[in-house]
Amino acid sequence: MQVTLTVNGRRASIDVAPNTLLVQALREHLRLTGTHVGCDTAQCGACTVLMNGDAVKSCNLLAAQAEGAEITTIEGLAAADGTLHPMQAAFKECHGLQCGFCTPGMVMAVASLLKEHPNPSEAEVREGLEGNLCRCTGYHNIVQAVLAAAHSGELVP
Amino acid sequence: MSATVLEEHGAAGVVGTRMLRREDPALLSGEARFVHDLVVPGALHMAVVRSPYAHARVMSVDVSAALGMPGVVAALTGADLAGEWASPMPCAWPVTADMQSPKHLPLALDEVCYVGDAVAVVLARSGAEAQDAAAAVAVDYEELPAAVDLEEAARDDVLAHLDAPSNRAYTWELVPDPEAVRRSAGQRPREQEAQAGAEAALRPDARAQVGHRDGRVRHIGWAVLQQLQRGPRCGPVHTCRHLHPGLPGQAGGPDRRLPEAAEADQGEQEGSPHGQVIHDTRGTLHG
Repeated sequence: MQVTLTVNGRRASIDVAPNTLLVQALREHLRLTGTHVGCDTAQCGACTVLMNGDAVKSCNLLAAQAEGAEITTIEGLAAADGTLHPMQAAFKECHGLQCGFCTPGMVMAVASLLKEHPNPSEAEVREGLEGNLCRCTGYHNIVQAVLAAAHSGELVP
Repeated sequence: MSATVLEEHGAAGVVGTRMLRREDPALLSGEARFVHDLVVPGALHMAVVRSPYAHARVMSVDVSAALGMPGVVAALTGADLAGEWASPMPCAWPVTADMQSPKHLPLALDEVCYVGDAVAVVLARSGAEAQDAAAAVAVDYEELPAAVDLEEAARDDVLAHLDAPSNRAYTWELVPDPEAVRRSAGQRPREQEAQAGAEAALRPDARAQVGHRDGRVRHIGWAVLQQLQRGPRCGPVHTCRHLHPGLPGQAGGPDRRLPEAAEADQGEQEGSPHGQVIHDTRGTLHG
């Protein structure tokens, strides 16, 4: 079946099997491999992307459900000249990553979180990240990165 | 890289200072390449059928429906491969000389002992075809009581393995004040030790292997232990070469060889001229 969606500002029309997941469409059809598959069961959040501005786990959506949607992946977050998004920069500054496998999902999840809570408390950040697992950092520096980015004044709502 | 850092900052400028990592921009922008991101031309893809039960007898495994599905090259059960394994999967860390380690084959024969224990694999031309066919494998289980609590397991009322007389693998003598030892020598109390034993990478099966005409195998993924333990199944260690792209969850990894690796060795035998990629971590993600 034909699915048309806009990914990182570019319109894409792809021919997929009806049971193709959104994450498969992004990774295998559009070769945007920054979105990761960690668990296949919606537990780990590594596949988180933005669909029409809201965080979704792309391993739990069919590509067909994204028909006509605006999708933003980790590849679409930095500026065109490569300048990191303030959230990406905060993760780097605060050592919010080690192996980096969960990182794209983390960054996309908190991008959505800050839209709803522009000035979150530490507790709100921790609760907002309950759907994303990290096996390296122990979460502390991720939370610090989110708070730093939120309070930097550089995030455009 | 260290030499460069030293050249830039001098030894005195590095020690005791905060260093920002150079690999972060690629990891943060989606440009980093992990094993799952590699495209291996002609690769077979393998999906694993796993137990949904913590403990059960495997009454039957029927792969006939899977074999007829599009793109499927092979569908294998534990019984199919029982005569193929040189030995059960070894443990890389025999903690004590008398440690008891129940026989653990890459594909279960008649008993599954944890959620995620593998019972069959399907090899297909694409990952989606392998996963679709794996869903068509019919497994009949008879659920058994499971030992899920350390204290309860230690009483041996419920045995975790039907062929093991006790749930105790080994005994370490407790010192009088474990807390003092932990503070002084960095040892961990028992609960933490058990937790450490359950370490799991976010995507533990990240692995691809590529065969060459000279018989050598380029193995991309978890390295040292997997490599050392590979020998009994697929030949001498020197026939393999390991490559290291990004690997998920390197900060904490398993010290047992993962079943997926041994099953993948089988994929290599199944006639894929180029290699294979493994799919499906269901049941291997621990919380």
